[in-house]
Amino acid sequence: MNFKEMLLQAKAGRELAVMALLEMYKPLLVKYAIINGRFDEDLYQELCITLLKCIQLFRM
Amino acid sequence: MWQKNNGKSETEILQNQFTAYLATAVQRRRNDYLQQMDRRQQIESLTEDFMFMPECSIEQDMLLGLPVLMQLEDSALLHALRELSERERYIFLARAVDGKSFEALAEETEMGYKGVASVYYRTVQKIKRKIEVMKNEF
Repeated sequence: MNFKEMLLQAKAGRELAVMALLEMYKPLLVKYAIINGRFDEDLYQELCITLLKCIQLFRM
Repeated sequence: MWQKNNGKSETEILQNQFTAYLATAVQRRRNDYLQQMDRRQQIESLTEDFMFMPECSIEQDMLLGLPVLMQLEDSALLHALRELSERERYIFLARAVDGKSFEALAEETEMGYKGVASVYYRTVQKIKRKIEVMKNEF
């Protein structure tokens, strides 16, 4: 499955595709969830929510 | 399975666009989060100071006595005040809290009457705008 299909399916609300995207972008989210060298779990959750929102809002 | 994204094919371009979009959104969320945390800490340290300093000022007394919503607005006000420049803050506080006249302030700061007045009104507008923005965040 290429990225475009995955994104389209995630937009349509297929859980598998959403999970795959979440897995794919995990390193990015983890990177931004670090504050002063410490991993902030609350921020990580917020960023996961941001990712979900982005999937819905992104226009192709 | 995994290979480098060269940004050549359509789907790769799309992926890059999405990644950039996501990175911006994530960065903004992170900044908001940091700001919120900062504000929370400020409120907490304010109450802590109060516990250990019974002689502290009337302003904090009033702040703690107020209902929660007003406390929020006041912390927004504190935050807005902190972001002003030294001159703006001084003129605003001297006029609004100490009740100094524009003439006295003009003499003190070696600016014209109109200069002081315009700084004052501009500052009021700035604070209003900042408080409005912060209210929407909550």
